[in-house]
Amino acid sequence: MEPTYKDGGFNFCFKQRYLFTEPERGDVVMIRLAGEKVMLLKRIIALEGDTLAFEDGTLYLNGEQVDEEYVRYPSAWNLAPRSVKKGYVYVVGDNRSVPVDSHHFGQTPLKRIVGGPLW
Amino acid sequence: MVIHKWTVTSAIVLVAGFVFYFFIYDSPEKQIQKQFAVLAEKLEKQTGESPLISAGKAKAAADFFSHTCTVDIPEYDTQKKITAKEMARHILAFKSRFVAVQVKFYDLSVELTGENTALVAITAETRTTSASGEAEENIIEFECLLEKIEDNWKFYHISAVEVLEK
Repeated sequence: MEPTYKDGGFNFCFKQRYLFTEPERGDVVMIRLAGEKVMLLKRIIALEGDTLAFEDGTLYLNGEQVDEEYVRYPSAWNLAPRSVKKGYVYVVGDNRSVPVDSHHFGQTPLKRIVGGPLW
Repeated sequence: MVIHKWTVTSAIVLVAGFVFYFFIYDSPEKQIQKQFAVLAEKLEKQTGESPLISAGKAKAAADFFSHTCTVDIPEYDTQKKITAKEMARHILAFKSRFVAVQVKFYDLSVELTGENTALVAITAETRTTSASGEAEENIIEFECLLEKIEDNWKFYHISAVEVLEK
C-alpha cells in the first residue's frame, strides 16, 4: 500500500468502521486471512456488479476512466475486463510499481473485511 | 465446618481440573499446535546452514505428511498428489533457492471432523532471502486435513485459500 501506508508500518484496525455503513470505492480496508493476526491492507476500487479493467496502468470502471489520485508510482498494468461478484468487492494496493503478476489483488467477500485502518 | 470443608474440596478439584486441562492434558488441538511449531522450525533455513542439516530438516518436515498428500495451490499452478519422499525433495529444492528462510504460522484453528481427523485453517508467512540479498515475504492462508496415524497428526490434504480472486 505504499506510498499511502509504509511497508511494515504500525497501525490499528478500526473494527466499527462498517458497523452502520457499507464499504465504498476508495476505502482502505483490512482483510482477514485465517484469523486476524495477519491481515491484508488494500483499497477498494470496485463494488459488486461493477466491471473493471486496467489499460496501460489506467483503471476503467464500468467503461469509464478513473483518476486514482492515491497512485503515485506509474505502472503499465493490463487486465482484461471482469465483473465483481455479488457480496464481493475488488481490492488493489496503491503500489502499482510492482508487476501485475506479483501484486496481490482481486475480489474478496465482504465478510472478510474486518474494518479499516484507524489513521 | 462441613460446608467449609466442601468449599475447600470443590475449589481444589476445580483448580486441579484447570491445571490438568491447561497444563497436563494434551488435547488434539494442542498436539496439532505443537506439530505446526515443530514444522515451522524444520522448514526454516539459517544463513550458512549446511546441506546435510537442510536435508535432515527437510526429511523431518516430510515426516509430518501422510504417505500421499494432495496439494492444491492454484497460485503456483500446483494440484497433485505428493508422496512423503517427494515432499522432502520439494522442501529441499525450495530451501536451496535461498540463503535464509523464515516460516511462521498464525491464527491456527482446529475443527475435529472425526475421531482421528481434523480440519485446520492457518495463515503461513514465509520470509526468504536470496543469495543477492533480496528479501521477499509471502502470506498464504491454508486449509489442511490431518489424520492421526500412530499418535502423530499427518497432513493428507493441503489447499491454499484464494483470499483475493483475480
